[in-house]
Amino acid sequence: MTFVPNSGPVNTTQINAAFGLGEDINLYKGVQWFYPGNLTTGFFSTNTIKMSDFFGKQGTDPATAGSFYANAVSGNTGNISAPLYRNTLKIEVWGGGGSGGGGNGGNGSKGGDSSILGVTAGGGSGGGAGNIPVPPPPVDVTVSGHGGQQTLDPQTWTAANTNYIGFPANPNATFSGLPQGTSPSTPETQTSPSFNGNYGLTQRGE
Amino acid sequence: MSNGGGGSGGTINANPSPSIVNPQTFVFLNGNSGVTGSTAQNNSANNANVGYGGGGASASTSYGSATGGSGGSGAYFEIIYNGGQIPYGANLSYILGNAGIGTGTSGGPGGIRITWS
Repeated sequence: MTFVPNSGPVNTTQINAAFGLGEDINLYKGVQWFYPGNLTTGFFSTNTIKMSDFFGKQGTDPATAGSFYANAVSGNTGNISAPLYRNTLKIEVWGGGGSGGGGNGGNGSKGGDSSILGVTAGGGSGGGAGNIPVPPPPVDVTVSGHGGQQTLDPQTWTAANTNYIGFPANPNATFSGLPQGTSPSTPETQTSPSFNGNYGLTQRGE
Repeated sequence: MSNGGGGSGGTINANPSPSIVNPQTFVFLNGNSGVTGSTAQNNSANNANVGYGGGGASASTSYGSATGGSGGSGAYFEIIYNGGQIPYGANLSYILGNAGIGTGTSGGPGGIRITWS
């Protein structure tokens, strides 16, 4: 943008280059002027204009509309030189989004934080993972079961007047869990009752 | 089987520097939380959809199917200054957070937009 020199001799060619309204100075009465690089503005007099009134001025507003955009894909840090703006300047910032979770394991991860001028927009957290459990293996019934059952046939045994299942001979001895009776003083033959019961055994896998 | 829970939205941490103590407008918005078992949208998060939460992935086996939760979106803020409040040529430094990357769809990257008139 061209502007009129800040001092020294000024001619109408320079004024026309800065304002574009022609080289007749009377054409600039009441016209708005601006300074480059700042927001100061004003209007030329509608009566008398001097050449020095044009020092450092231009005919267009140096403050223009514009925009700037960036995201983390193109870089995580950056700088922007504040533009010259006349009305408003709006800064918008987004934190990174969290990623989705996996369908069967694998949580998502958090998005990163974004900040400017001491204000931080936090990233979103990752989504949780779905879960599809695998059922436990079935029990192998061929190696497990309830306690077994056994039938004992009647047995015949003979007691003698000597050691009787490891004990000294004692005609008055009694035995629990066996057919009741006194040990005979002479060899005798008896028959045990039959047994048809459950041992109550417990095995793993029941 | 169970679907994954949604991620939490990002939050704002404001500790403004002295240069922005008197803006015309502050708008702070925490991010939205993700949705449980939300299937991924066909998003282009790594390009334009800054701050979006990514969708959960779906999986299926002979024992069933499940979907991961979607990610939470990033927080957002905007600050509006009147003319002249930010000096011409002032250095505005910024940091942008990466998108979350995981088994599901990636989130949107952090971003910044400055507009003036």
